[in-house]
Amino acid sequence: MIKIKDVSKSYDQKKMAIDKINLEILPGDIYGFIGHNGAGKTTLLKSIAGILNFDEGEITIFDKSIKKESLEAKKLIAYIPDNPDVYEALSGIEYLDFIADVFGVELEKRKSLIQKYGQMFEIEDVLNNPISSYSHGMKQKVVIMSALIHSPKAMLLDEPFVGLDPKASYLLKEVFHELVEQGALIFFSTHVLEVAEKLCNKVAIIKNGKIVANGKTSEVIKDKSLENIFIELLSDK
Amino acid sequence: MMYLKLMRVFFKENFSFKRIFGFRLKSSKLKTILISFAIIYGFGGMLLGFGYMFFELGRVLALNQMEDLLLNFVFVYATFMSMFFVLLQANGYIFHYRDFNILQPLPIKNRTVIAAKINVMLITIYLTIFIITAPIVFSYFYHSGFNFISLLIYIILMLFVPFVPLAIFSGLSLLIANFSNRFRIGKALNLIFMFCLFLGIMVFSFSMNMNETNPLFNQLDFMDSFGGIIPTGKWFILSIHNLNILAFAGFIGISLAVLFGFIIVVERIVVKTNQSHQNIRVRKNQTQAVSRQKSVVRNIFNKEVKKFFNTTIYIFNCGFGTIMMFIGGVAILIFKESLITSLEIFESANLDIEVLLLVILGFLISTVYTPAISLSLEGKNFWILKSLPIKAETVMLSKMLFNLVLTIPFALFALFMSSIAFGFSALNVVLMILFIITFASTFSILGSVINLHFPKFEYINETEVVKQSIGALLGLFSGFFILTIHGVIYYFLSASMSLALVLLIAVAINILIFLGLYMYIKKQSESIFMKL
Repeated sequence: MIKIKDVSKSYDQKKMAIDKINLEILPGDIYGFIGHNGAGKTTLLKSIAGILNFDEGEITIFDKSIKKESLEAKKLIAYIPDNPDVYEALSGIEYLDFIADVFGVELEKRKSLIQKYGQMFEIEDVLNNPISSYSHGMKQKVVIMSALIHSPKAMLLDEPFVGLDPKASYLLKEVFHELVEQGALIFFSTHVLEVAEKLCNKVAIIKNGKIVANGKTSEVIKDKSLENIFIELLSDK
Repeated sequence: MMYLKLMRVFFKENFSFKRIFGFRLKSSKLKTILISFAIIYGFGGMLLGFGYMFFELGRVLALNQMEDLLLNFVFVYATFMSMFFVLLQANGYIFHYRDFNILQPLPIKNRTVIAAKINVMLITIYLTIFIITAPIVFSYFYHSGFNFISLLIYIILMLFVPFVPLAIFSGLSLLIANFSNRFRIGKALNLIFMFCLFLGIMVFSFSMNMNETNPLFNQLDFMDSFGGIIPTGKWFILSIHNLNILAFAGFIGISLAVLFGFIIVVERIVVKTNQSHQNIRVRKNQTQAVSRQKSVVRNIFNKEVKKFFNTTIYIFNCGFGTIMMFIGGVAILIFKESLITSLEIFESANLDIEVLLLVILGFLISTVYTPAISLSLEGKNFWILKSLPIKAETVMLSKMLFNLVLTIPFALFALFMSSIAFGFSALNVVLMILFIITFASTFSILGSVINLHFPKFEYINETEVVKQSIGALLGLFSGFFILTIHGVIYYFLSASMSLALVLLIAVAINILIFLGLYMYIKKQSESIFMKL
């Protein structure tokens, strides 16, 4: 599980980007993370992934502290950023091999996973080409494949559906279900409230760096829609 | 006016302090002091060395009332520098600019955008040519007498000097790129052309005879004939030296006409070349992608290799030393006899040939400053390394390994060739091998430390990191700094002990610096990574 306890971060020592965040994401959760632009979604996701240093609090991934045992913690997670900026000089297969090597994925296992996801996302024919020749969506698919190739226990995604075609979006949702059935957890930020409402068993809403709503999706939205709740929370002063 | 609005945006985008150096001036006093020191040291050294040679040349020319020849140097140097910059930068600034998608939908005339883009490119050129020609102009005014109107004319004309080379060589760079892109090895062809061009300039520089009191004397004939052939060159001199209004007007008129003509001619071409990058066609493979298992170090190393060979400006700047060591090694064996004769003056000055060779190799190794910029070149991809379970130390050491592969084998090759040519003793050869290996490793790890402290992840194109970043500047000078330490030691110890012992001490110093920096990377790199 991912435990986020009293985590705060400020970029300028004046305004808090995230302020005393507390969250618990359990295995089997598909946790949606919703907020306005600049609310602190990416900051929190990057802090969990060990990309950003946070000022206060503690984040543990399956009991491994991302600060104190960062390598051990990172071995359990896969992070997918909002923009698929990857090594453009490498080919798709070289990038996937790189990630697989870092996580020590055995050759046979990676071959079968590359074949499985390559076919699923329909990019197996272009994996020999340099990534620089890929479209935005193709790069996004390679990044998703690189996250899936080492069967992570926790998957962190920042706006994962942006740039994906409808079929790929559908497939990614299927992959989410497949992963949580195997005991993994998914934590992702999104602006697409309908997706969060239908896909997530839990949601958290962040406003100006603070969590303003959090819990089971059905309990958060009650008899309203997530969109209504989100607008209401944002308009509350 | 739209043009001025564009210029303001482009200027902010390209020339802010943070953009150039990678941090805000107010945020770190120490970094600002270090940068100031490096800039003063670099430019000061260049201006003083260059200035002395031109001052002496001016003195001799003034005796024969030929000081106007100095203006030939100004014109030729400014023209050559402009040519060089245009060949390297025209593609990125004019024919394939990255903000095409932002600018093209806006209601701005294409020629206005092109003019503004050209002007941004010109700012870098102006900076360079004014700095390069400053010592020559100083020598000219000192020896021919200062005249404010002449100085004003010089400043005005220098603003127009790059126009003609810009028009000609922008076109040439586009033709070369179009020609080489027809082949599968287009990038390699482009690189070969660039290296040929650069080597040509080097050959021109070597036309300076080092046996002369002043190496510039050998360039006089060339400067005289070049200035004579090019009409604008003649007008340039007549305007400044003779205050000839007609020549002044002719120079400006021709330059403006060529530039405006160029903008009108390329207006449509620029749109087409920029549009050509919009069509992404992904070729489907006939062969299935095959997975291969490698170590993490090997993976990062391979990534560095690919980045290096896929980035023209990177290979062009940081690969030059490697190529020169190889070419030099071969040349030493071929021109063995004439080299031995030339080097007799060093022997008569009690300077060991072995030391001279190590200085040259050390200098060339220092030009391969990849560790000082390779972390910066991760740019937007840095999230990958940060989010993966890889130690920061492993990342830095893999990058160093790539640098050592670029330097040590080639330096050793040049050393072996020299050993055959000059018949160095076996003991000295072994010590020189040790010196090269330890020097290259120390330079490499120092570059890594520099890049950890002076990263520049935000950039539009790699040129900003490879040529203009503070990491690049400090990386280059760090090699010279280590060489200076050894130079001082050699100066004080060579009289009292054998060369072998001095070399052994130099090797020991390299190892000590290396170990200190290695411990630093081992302890600090992880926490520095997290702060980046």
